[in-house]
Amino acid sequence: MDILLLITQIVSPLLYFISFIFYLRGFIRKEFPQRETTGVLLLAIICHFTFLSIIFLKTGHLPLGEVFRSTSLFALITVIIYVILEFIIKERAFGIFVLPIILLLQIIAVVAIDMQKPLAQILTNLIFEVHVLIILSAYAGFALSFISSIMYIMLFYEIHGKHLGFFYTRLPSLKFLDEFNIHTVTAGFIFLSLGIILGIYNSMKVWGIPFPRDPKMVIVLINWMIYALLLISHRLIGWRGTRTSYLSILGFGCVLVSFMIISTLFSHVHSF
Amino acid sequence: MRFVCSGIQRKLQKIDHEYILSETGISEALKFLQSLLKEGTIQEGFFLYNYDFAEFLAVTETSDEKQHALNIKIAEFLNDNALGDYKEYQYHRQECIAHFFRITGGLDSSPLGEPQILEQVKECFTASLERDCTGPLLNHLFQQGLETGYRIRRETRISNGAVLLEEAIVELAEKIIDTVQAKTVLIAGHSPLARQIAALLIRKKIDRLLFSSASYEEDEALSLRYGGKPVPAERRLIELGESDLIVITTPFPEEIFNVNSIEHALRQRKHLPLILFDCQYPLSVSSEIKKIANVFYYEPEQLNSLITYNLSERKKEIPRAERIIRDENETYHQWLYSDQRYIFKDIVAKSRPMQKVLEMTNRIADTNITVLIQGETGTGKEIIARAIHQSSRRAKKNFIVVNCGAIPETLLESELFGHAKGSFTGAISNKVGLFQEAHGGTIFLDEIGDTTPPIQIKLLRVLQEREILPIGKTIPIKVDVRLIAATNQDLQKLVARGAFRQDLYFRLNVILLTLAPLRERSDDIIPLAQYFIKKFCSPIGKTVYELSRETERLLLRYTWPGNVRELENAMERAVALTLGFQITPTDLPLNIQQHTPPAVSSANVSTKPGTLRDLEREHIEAALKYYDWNYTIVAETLAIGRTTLWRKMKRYGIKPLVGTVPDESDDEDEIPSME
Repeated sequence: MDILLLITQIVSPLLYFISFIFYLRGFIRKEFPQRETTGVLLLAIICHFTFLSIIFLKTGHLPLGEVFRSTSLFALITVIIYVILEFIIKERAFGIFVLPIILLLQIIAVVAIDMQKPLAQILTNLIFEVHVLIILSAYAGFALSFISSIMYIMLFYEIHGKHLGFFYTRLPSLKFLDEFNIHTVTAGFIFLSLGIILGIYNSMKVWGIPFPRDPKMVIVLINWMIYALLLISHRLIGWRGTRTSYLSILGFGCVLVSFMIISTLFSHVHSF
Repeated sequence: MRFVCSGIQRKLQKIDHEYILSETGISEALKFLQSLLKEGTIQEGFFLYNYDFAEFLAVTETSDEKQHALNIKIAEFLNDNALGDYKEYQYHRQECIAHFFRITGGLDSSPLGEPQILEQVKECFTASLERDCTGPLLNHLFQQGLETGYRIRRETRISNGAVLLEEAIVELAEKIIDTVQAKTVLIAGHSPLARQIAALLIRKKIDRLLFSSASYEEDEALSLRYGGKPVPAERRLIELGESDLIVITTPFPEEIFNVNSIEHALRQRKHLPLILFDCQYPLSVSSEIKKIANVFYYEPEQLNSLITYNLSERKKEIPRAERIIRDENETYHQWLYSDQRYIFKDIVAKSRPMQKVLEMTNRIADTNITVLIQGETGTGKEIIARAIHQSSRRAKKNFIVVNCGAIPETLLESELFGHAKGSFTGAISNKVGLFQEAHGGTIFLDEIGDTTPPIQIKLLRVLQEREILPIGKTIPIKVDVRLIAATNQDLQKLVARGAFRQDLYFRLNVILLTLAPLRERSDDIIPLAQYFIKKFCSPIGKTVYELSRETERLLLRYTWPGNVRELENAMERAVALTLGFQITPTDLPLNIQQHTPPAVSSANVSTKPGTLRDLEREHIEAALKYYDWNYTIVAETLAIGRTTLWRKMKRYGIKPLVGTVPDESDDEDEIPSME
């Protein structure tokens, strides 16, 4: 079991790297050899899944209660959602942007993961686990929205700058990216709201107070407000395109801050 | 055979959309092709043209000098008819085939990889085909050329990226608004570019195409041609807001393209992006419009680098496309020099009429269309029907053969449609009809001309309603059956005589395949004989035989009244009898050996002698067959009177065949009167 854990720990980022190379090659050559690219990525996902499953079997809990385990889980959720979306929308240009993020997160996770860290009691109940899973799914949506926003902005400036070339011939259309952005943010926002409600409920149950004094809580609320602003401005004023994209990038920046930095540096109760 | 291709190509770089030959030139060219064919200078020919080239692709069997003469002739013809400045070119043999594949692959067209060329090739080929200029070799070449074209476009990126200005404009719009389908495009002006964009957008199935130029009449003309809508001056501002893409060419209505109108339009469209493509720069207000957010303002020059880039990308694909062409060229040559060419699903067809039938068979196989096959006895009607069934999507379901002439009229109905228990004397159980058994598959009704009017009405009902009514039942049953009918009589004559229902005839005669008698397709005789020899050798383990020269001569000289079936039997016999490795004339039936008089009686020397009655019957039958049922000549040959002939025929149950002797109408008129 330990050997398998060690193998998957090393191999999963490696496989992500290989599939990134495949995506990169396809992107540059403007062709996507369907089978091998998808094959390697699926292999990577299976490996990644095995890795987290072993942790689950060893500890008896979902890999959530520690920041790097949840980082790895977040990467897994994101990549699975991405693969499903890729299958549905048949657009493979996203892969080249998604995979570096997944790869980075997974490398950080496998290097820094602490298998021995004991978990606080409150971090093991079911409601808590559901709460974290939902929040992670919301973050996955925001990550995809972030990626489409970056693609939008690059394409937009290429078209506006009248230097049609590299991205122009490779990326999907602006309208498509814009709609993709809005859809992923909407989905992410719904999940985030659900997750926050569950968190408050859990906190009431464990501590008896709805909002523990916690920097993470604050930044998650800021986060929520940014995405709320994005959706409201889109619905009511009709903002789209670059403005929406910038908001989405800002929002995801916040997510990263709350997720990585605050979790590691400040919080004790909310360290995941 | 030798392939040769001779043509001219326009020298101009820029192609206005005008063919290299004029309208009359094109029809002249087809006539010229027909005359070449008639003279026998070429065996098959195909005239192909596009905006920038025109050429003749032909199969010849001539010597070098004659070839040279032909080339000069073609060159002269083209010289007389071409417009503008051009150069001549010629290709021979392999190169000629590669050249054709290069055309369909888009390697020879300008711009490189142009997709329209395939449509053009199809159109040109159909024109040559309709005038009966093409033959089996070119037909196959055409098919493979199309496949090569599709393959090159699929496997390489030779057609990717826009290389024409209008394509680049539409591509730009698609990069921004995803698709032009269900969008509105406003075209200002009526320059050639405006027309080209309009044509392209129509191909892209655009929702609304608006025309607005300085002259309303021009707009109306354009709208009529491209299916758009002219915009009168007072509606311009409103339509401006509705449009997603505006292309400004010359002459455009200046008064509307200013900052105010554009801003107004943008407010109206709630910040949806607006693409403004300006081919009429410098627009006086352009610099201000450019500053408005959500307006994508473009000029033609700004697409130039993209077009150059795309063109260079396409050029990089040429080696890969050439590899595919080499590959396909090899496949074609393999086919050309193989027996495969003549055999299609057990059908041997080297001759022109048979090739045509096969081509039609191929084309209709995958449909549900009703087919009528007409041909003398033994010409292989059932085999063709089976081939149609097997190459259709019904191949896995039943193929039911019903010989309408062999089943008594009273039984035929219950055989075809089934009957309920007790519906008539002897109907002791329910019976499923053949139509029901053929459900999902194909039913083949042989000798349909022998059916009686009541059956014909019922068949008509099946064809119209696609349902059958078994005898003694009240509820019709839906059936999904493809019907193929065959006859050795001329149905049209039966219709004229009232023996066959006209409405059924029209229902059946959707596709008519006429199988020529073997004597009319002598090209098939030797390949068929070889095919049968191979077929009969393999089960008995004999070594493969060949035909001696003398045998071939005899086979070709014989008139084959029994057609392919007779040939098949003759070959079976020859394979069984022969002692050497060659089939010599002595192995053939005597009637073939001693062809000049009918020589019928000696045909059965090898079989057990029958009674004199049998012999007489056989003799009369053979004589009738031999003389195509020409009773006068038969009676004369047999040295009996015509009435005696009729009496004997009746006694032996030889059925008079009506309509097999088309030019002996006086004889036919006599048949009913004798009955």
